[in-house]
Amino acid sequence: MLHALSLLLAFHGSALAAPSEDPLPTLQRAMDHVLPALATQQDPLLHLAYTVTEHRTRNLTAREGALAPLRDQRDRTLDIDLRVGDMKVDNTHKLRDSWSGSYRADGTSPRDEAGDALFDLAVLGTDDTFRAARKRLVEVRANDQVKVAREDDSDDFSPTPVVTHLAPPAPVELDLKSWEARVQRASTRIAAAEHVHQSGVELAIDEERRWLLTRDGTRIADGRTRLRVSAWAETTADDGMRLQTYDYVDVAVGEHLPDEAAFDALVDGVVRNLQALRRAPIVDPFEGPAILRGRAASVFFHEIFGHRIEGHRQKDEDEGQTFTKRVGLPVLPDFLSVVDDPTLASLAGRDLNGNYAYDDEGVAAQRVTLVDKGVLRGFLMSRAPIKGFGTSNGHGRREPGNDVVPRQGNLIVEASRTVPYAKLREQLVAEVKRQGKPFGLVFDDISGGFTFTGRSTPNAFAVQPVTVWRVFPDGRPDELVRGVDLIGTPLTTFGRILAAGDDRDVFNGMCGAESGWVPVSGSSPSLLVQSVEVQRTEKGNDRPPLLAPPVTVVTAGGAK
Amino acid sequence: MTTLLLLACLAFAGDDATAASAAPPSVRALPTLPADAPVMERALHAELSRALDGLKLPEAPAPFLMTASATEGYTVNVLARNGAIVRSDAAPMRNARLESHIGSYQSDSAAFDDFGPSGQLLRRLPLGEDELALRRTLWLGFDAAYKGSVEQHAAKNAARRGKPAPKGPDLLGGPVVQTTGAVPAMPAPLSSEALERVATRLSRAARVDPRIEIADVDAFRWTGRRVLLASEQTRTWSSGGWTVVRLTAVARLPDGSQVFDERAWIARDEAALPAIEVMEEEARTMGRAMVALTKASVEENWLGPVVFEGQAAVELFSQLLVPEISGTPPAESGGDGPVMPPSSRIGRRVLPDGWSVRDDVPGHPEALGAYQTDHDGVAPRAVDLIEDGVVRDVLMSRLPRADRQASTGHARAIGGARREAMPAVVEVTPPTTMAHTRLERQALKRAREVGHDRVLVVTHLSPAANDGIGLSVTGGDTPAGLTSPTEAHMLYRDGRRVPVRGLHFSGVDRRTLRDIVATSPGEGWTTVMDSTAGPGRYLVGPTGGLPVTWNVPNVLVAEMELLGSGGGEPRVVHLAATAAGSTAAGTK
Repeated sequence: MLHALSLLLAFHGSALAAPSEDPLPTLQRAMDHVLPALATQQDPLLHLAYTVTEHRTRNLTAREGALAPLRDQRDRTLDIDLRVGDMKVDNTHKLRDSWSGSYRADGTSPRDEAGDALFDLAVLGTDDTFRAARKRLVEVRANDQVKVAREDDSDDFSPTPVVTHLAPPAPVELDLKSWEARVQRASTRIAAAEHVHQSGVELAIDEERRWLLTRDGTRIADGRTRLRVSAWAETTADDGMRLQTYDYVDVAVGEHLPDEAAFDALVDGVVRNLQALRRAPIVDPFEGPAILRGRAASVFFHEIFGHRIEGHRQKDEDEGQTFTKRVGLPVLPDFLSVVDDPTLASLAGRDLNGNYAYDDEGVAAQRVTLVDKGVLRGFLMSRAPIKGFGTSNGHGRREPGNDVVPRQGNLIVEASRTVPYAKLREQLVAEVKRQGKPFGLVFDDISGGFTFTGRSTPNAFAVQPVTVWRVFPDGRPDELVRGVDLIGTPLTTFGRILAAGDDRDVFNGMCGAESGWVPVSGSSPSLLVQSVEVQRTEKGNDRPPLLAPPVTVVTAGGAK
Repeated sequence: MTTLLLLACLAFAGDDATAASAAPPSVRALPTLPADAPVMERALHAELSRALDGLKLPEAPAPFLMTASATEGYTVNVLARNGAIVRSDAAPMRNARLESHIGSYQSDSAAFDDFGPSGQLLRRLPLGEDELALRRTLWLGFDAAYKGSVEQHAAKNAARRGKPAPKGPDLLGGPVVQTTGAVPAMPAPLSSEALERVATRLSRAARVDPRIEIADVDAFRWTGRRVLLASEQTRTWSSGGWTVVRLTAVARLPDGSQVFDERAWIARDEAALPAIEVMEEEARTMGRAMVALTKASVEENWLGPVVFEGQAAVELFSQLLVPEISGTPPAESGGDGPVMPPSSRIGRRVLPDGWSVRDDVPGHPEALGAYQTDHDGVAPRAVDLIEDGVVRDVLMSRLPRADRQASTGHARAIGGARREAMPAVVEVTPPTTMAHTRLERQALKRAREVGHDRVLVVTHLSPAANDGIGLSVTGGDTPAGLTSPTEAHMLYRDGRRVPVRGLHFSGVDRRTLRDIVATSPGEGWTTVMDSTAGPGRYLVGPTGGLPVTWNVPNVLVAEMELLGSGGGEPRVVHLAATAAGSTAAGTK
């Protein structure tokens, strides 16, 4: 199966609560109601879990200097996870050479406890899901008879400790009036800047509250909060390329939002970068040495490494399985180690998006050493085992409405041997000279990326930079360039990492894959890579606007 | 939308068919704004003016016509399920539809659709009173519309190469219509509380039994105002709004099959809705009708007379008549295929002798489907569409056809779609009517003649606007068919009425209406939500569409065919009894 795994920095809302009623008693009542009936069925119920996820989102948005009224919305989704069969083979077992997917009941849930609406939804959804699951199990058994033996015959499901974790909600308290003024002021400033055609500023407050109940007795009530303040600007270059700059700060609590000066600096940077990019030359396709700075290096690792060590990809024979059989073998230079640690709330002074205490299967999040001194040690695991890894390490994640699969949380690259960034840059120049290249590249900010991990497509990745600098070997000043994407294939690229800086940056974003969009973070030192390849990026072809932008407000009567 | 202001100053086209048929020269002049024009209109005017003066690529013509219509107001969207709110949103809205036309009225870039670049687009506008912010969005919008129209015009010319030149113009000259008097005031912001209450209570009331598994109420309200400015000196303001409350329920029967039913209440605002107690009783009645179906047999096949009563009669006429009376021709497109003629044809018989159909907006200004200017800015006129059962005239927008070269003021569109003629306030009048009991006796007599001891009576059809099931589409731009009955019963000679379920119409098309053999007085004026003729009619959703008001009789159709189906997988887990006084069938 082909998976396009995308990483977006654009806000993809979700997260904790206004006055929320606890649905756990209703969910328990529903479970008590359905279990006796299901116990009489020929196909044994293996697992049943109910999750209610509530999102309250508040958005303060200004476009072109005009502030829109605050949007304040709240919704809930009910997820029903049900398995029929046994630990060895259940209905979630992959059907080979088949597009048949799993059934998920409509989880559109009442946002409040009113009458029996949630109870009814849970009971009827359980029935729908059970009947679909037992049909699928029949297909699974037939599929296994018809097909050759699997390379990985590990179980479909694994036990996990029962957990009780009931955390009180932590609603966001913020002076929204003062933020209204700041958002509007910033938007007005961006809109008035030269060459900015469209622009906007937003404060998004995202509060999530989650309640999870399993048949085994796990009861979790917890939440998370994310706030993002962001600004964007867009223009069209004379050659038709549409240029957009976007910057943001993600924080977990309101007190960590940028102050006035930092916010102004963020906004000014968006404008400055856009204006500089508009003048910047386009780079032709190129292969040569490069430094991936901070956020760029983090996204680079997220795409080319992180998605390939998600556990289910090691078992799925439609996947490329880059690392499946390399446990205990070197996969990275020996000065690099990689961990994924969702338990970390902050790093390098930055709140981390990928922080959580329990995953979406109710398993406690664990710090997982994936690579130790260059040697592959493990994978990200949900409750679905793979050969050699029989239990979850708390990485089963999903956006509400999707099946859980193992996903990244906070992916952290650590280097045992580092040099100051200035030294890393000198090494880049030396490498440029050694290779006889006209220049090297520094990628210092990115807008996102994606990778393909399946067998039916090239196992390639692309990272989409916002700002790329050309570094010349003759001492000329670095030059901002545009119009390129960083591309490559994983194993080749890993082998070319030469050195790491002593700096560290963090990216926060939303990652999209087969279990939906989940908040993630990544952190890495700057990396010097012996050789990267860049290709021309997609661009628009429209002429810039024919008329100058309106700059004066007209009075009635039609004066221009 | 109802225009509140008077219109004046009809000039070179207007309602005069002769004047409108000639392709007029381009006017390219904007009306002068009054000093107190609202900020949205000032912004539109300023950018439209700049666009008219300045948008011109070196090797391409300038627009001969540009228009901008903007809508601003407030919306409420609520969904309640089984007595609880699922989502609720009250929000301001403001958007603009911008059009650039290249060529001439004779050969207009906009009258072409090959899914390529277009000169018509919809833009969401910034909220608030910031004129400069509005103008910045409009500036880019007009720029994109102009460039799109240049390419659209080129594509149209390319497609026409080597083909005979069309006989008439592509676009009729617009009347110079200008609103006089005060601009309608911006309405007060809406709160969702009232509709939340209605939705919650109705979705609870409908669940008279646990076998009704889902009762959803979608409620929508919008209120606002709209301005149209065009380079033909047009300036119209209007204001209005409507409220749609739609209850949709699903029940599962012991054999595993599902049955659906719905009710809709459409009014100008919440205050104009029936009292909540009345609506609740209607919801309970619907629920009881669904429960009654649990004992109903699946009618496997029916060939014989069918009676359409109440809502079913309105849907029958709405679904089958609209394509026959809407005159806008299909959009010209590329390729070597033939130019598709309009589905409506003047001179075609669609009803029996003596029947007439009239769309009369001016005669019923209080109707929810009424308005004072259509989306082209043209005042609607009464149109005698069908006389003696034969189509004599059709509803028109400014998009002409060979045999109709004047707008009747019926152009409407949802969002950025092409403005096409659609009905507004329609009255269907039979030559004679009889008491309903007599109609039923006649139906039973006809049934007996073909060997039945009963007759099928359809009282509720799945509305076209919200039809998820049962449409019998026979292809083309205009689907032919009839949605499935959601409530029907067999009427026996001894007066028994036995519910039936699982029926779907087969082989229904426009000719079905010719087989009407008897009528009785209908329910009077009724509003439905609808769209222009075409597949989009079936996709407007539970609260989408534009209001159309109908007055139709109950009818007896001599012969129709329906096929039945039923059955499914019974539930393993049943709901406990959750509704007062009821117990779920099969609950263990």
